[in-house]
Amino acid sequence: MEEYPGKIRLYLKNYPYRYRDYSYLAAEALLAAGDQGKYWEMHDIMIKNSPTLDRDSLIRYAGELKLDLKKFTADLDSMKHKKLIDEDGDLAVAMDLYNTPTFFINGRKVIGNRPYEYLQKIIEEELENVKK
Amino acid sequence: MKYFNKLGSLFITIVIVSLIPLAAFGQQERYELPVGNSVPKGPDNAPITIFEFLDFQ
Repeated sequence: MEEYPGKIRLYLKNYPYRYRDYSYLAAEALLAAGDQGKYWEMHDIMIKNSPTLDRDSLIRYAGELKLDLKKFTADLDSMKHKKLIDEDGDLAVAMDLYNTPTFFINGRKVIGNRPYEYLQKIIEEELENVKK
Repeated sequence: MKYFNKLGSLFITIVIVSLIPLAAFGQQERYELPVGNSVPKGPDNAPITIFEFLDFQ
């Protein structure tokens, strides 16, 4: 996004893989941090530290972001955002998605980890389309 | 001459019909996604919108 300032609006959809230990907890952590205004900061710190996403680590990251840890931990443990996470997951299933990451760039589906150049090419094409 | 005109028309028709699925194939499907509860990053008037389904682990 840094390469295209002002050109991209990014939305995340949580699609935690059910057989990984901390995927769901990490999605909870993202939304719990979002409640305290640190959604993207938590995203960045979890991406940087993945796959170390156990409960204690997530609380430590929340501490680094100066979140209210009592509230954060309570949200995490109560799975406060389960409904929202499941909504994203249901959407993924309804769209027949089985891989993460899956991107939709102006609606164009890109499945799996791709070289940056591949995504860049689609972005450039879409920017060209806008100019027309 | 009439015979050749008919043959020419038939040929053109076959070419056009055969190009239709090619054109459709070349045009990638575009999906519409609901924003839902997502917290966006980037300006709301950005020309490109990206949705990412992700798993942090």
